[in-house]
Amino acid sequence: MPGLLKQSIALLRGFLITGRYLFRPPVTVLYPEVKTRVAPRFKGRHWLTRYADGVERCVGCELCVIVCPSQAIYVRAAENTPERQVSKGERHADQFQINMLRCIFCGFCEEACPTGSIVMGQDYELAGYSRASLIYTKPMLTEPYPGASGRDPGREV
Amino acid sequence: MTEAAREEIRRLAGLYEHRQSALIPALFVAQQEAGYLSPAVLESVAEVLELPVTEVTSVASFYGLFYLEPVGRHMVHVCTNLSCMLNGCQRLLSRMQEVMGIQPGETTPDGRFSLRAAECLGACEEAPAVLVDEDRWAAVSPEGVEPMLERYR
Amino acid sequence: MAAEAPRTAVTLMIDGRGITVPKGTTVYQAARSAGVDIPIFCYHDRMPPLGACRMCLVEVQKMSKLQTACTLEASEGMVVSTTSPAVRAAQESMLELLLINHPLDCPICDKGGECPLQDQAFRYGPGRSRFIEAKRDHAKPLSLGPVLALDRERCILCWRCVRFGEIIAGDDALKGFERGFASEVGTPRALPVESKFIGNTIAICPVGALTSRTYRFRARPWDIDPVASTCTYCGVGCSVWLDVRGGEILRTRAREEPEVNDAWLCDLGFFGHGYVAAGDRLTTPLVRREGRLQEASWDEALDLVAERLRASAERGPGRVAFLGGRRLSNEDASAAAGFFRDVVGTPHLDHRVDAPPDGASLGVSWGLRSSLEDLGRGDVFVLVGCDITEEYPVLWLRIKAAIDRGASLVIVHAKRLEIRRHARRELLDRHDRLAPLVAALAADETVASGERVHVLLGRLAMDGPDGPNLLRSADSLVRRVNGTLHIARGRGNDFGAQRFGLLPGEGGMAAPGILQGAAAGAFDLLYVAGSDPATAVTDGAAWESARSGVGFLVVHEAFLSETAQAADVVLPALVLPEKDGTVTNLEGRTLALRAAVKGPGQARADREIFDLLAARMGVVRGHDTATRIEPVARIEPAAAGAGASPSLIVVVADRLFTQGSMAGRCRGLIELAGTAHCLIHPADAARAGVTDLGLVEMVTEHASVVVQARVSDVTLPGQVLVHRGYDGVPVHALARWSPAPAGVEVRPVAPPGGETP
Repeated sequence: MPGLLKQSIALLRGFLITGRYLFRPPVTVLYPEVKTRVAPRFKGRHWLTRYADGVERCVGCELCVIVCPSQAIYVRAAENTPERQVSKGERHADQFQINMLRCIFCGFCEEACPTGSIVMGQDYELAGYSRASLIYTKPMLTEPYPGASGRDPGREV
Repeated sequence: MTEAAREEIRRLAGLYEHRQSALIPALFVAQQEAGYLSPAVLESVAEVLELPVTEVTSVASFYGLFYLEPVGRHMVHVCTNLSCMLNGCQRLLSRMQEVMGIQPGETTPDGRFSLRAAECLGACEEAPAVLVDEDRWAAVSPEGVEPMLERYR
Repeated sequence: MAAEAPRTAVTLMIDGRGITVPKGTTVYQAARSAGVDIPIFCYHDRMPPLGACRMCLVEVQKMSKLQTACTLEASEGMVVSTTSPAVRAAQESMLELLLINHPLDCPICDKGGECPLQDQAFRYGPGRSRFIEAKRDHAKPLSLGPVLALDRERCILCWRCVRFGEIIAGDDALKGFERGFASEVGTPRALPVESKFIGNTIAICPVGALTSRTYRFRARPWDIDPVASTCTYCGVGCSVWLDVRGGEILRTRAREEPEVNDAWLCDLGFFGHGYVAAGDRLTTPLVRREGRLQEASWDEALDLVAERLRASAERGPGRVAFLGGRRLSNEDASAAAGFFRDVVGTPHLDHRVDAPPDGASLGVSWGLRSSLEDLGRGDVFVLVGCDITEEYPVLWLRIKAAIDRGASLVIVHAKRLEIRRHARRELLDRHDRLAPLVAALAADETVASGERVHVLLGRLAMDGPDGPNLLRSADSLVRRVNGTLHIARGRGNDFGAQRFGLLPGEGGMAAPGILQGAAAGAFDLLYVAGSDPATAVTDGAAWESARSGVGFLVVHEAFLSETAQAADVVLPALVLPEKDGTVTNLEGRTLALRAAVKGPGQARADREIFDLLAARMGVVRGHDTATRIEPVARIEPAAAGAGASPSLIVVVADRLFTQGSMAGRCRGLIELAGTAHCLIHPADAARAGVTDLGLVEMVTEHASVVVQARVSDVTLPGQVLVHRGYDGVPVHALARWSPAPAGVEVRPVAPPGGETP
């Protein structure tokens, strides 16, 4: 019965593949105990970066707002004063919010940013228990210190 | 501004169909009297001619021969345009600076001279040319600077 | 006509298309009418062409060089290209040159996103620059007064703003200074700009050189929902865009309406929206309990008012009076008139709260007697006691345009107006001596030779000591020269209030009568909406006694105004930018209001409040009952004021920028209004020992106020000018209603603590 023989060979061949992988180390990892490394240009959570001297890069121009395809960004600008020079030039972002529930991580905001302020980092752990906690505000988005996002604070735009 | 100057400006205004036309001569009258066109003088000219002070100030700022800042008793213009440059106005100007002890655009501490580097004074055939107040000096050499300035106290 | 048409039309080719336009049309206009886009910066269609920016270069066959399309008149057979390689190269070069010194700070600049330079650099620019030298560097921004910021680095010297001041506004507010490379626009020594129309220069600036200080960094064009509405300040009824972001009006812009405001606004309109979002808006009804106004529910407040109205009705008819209307919409006014006439049953309604009993204002209907467009076609304008730039600024722009076409302006006033430079004749005298000047005008050749004479009689004339006489003189003047007499009286929606019946009915009293009646106890209840009589009534004492003579005062208010503070019930009202509806402007035109934002808290529209009250009175009202009542148009002679004239009289005048309940809550306008001051002539000042900018006490028979003195010959000898509209400076207390001018004594007040160097 050539048919039966043919089927048996196919079956054996299948088991052979299974057997081959049985003794290899697995590709899955035990998240969250173990975490994988992401690609260098992975588009994770956003950062508002600073210059090396600590001054914020964002000038509140709202180009990210208009380019965002899911309308996830809200910016309210304000004027710098001699006493409170938040960014370079006359203008800074007084409020900056990104709705992480809406964000589709397309990276357009990073591309549109004329000062190289907004960058997408490596962090992908963005779950939360409430809607409010997923609307990232300016203090959450701004780098705590220059370079905290992993980008060189001395870089050109 | 004195009443005489006001009267002269009114007379000038009467010569033209539009008040604006008398503005430049009026500014010269005012400058001659006050030495320079301070904001108060400009306001007076505007008042007499019934023109907006913005317009009067605008015109005064346009022309190089109207002085909006205090100047010395004598204004020395040294031409630095092409013909004069070819005939050594730079050496002439350096000598002036040396004698007066000031840079172009400045006034001597005793208020005697103000020095300006000027564009063409229209005396290319006699380059390098110098204009002191309303006197034109032709082909001035660096050595001639001191005797020339001696004439103006 | 048909035979003439070929001679007055020319046909030219633009980019291969045949276009026929009237002779005299420029190539730019011809192209635009055919939908061909030519980039421009300096050209503005409300001003003659200039040809300064060189952006509109086009190639014309048989002309050796490129031509500026905005200055080139179209002629028969012309062949124009706007897209040839030479034109493209020129456009790229022009933008490259314009950008030599223009800072590329678009992300910071407020114009970013709505900037012609930005748009055209994208569309026509070369994309890169060969100039690597350092750009011009100026301190930025330069503040030119409370509303205008100048960034000289961004300026491309198109002269639009300068020419606006010269041609449109006639105030020469901004000028060019210096020359060549150093040229810049601005004011002498960067002093605060003196203009009532400077917002327009912000609007027409093709770059971000002139920006608004009140809108600075507040929003981007894509954040904004523009709402088409109408400005409700002065009564001209300019069409506006209210730019809303997040439930707040951030900016007002002019909306083009050739028949009303053309493309312009005054600064009161531009910067007068801040009050809507003021923090002290009333949000709940207030009811007086134990002598204090306390928060209450709508039901409680309305029940109380309805009960009081019914109680009054039981005591007899006509024991309720209504005052106000200026800040109501047409619909509100109609609802108020219907409610008080039909439901309450009283003829005592009047919107003319600020009219004195013996002036000329109560005998005539207010407003223009022709359309604004007709007015603009006049050839002689006579302003009698009408300070047009302070009272109806955008109307002045129409008169200025007529003057430029050859019309004459004649001013009769008690003050040197700021537009006097543009006047053919200026007749000045003390406030109580204006009538003979008007009478003399009939013999004036300028006026007599006019074919379309427009006489605007203003509030200062009508409500002054000689008001009825002035009205009669002006009336006989227009009869003699076959002109038109306009009553330049009323602000806001006074004209809608007048049209929709907020006037005394049969046997009803006018506003001064209502106040006098209230003082005498003729009314149980006084109802005020859309007005603040405590500050608006020109005799402060008359209001005080009216308030104490009336048992119950109900007020609709947006703020706790002086009137509201004295009320028994205060009902929180929406303001006009929060309501849909219509208003009427001073020419009688109906203009649409669109609700731009929601009102605060529980505030309600006046109309709704009247309907709720009517329901409580047992009447259900719909909104189809708006009855239009034609205003009275009669002129009645009245006795002239007699008696000895005091040596120094007080004249209360109107000012555009004030600190009233609306403008006093708008950033920018507060600073423009400055401190309350009086104007005193140098001769009188010397006699009284008053110095410029010193404090003075103005003492009349009835009261005294302390204000800053400005010594100026804007006023005339023998009179002190003081402005109304500054809350906290009760100028209305200075004089009582009287046909005679009010004498005043002016004394310098020593500054506290003596003089300090």
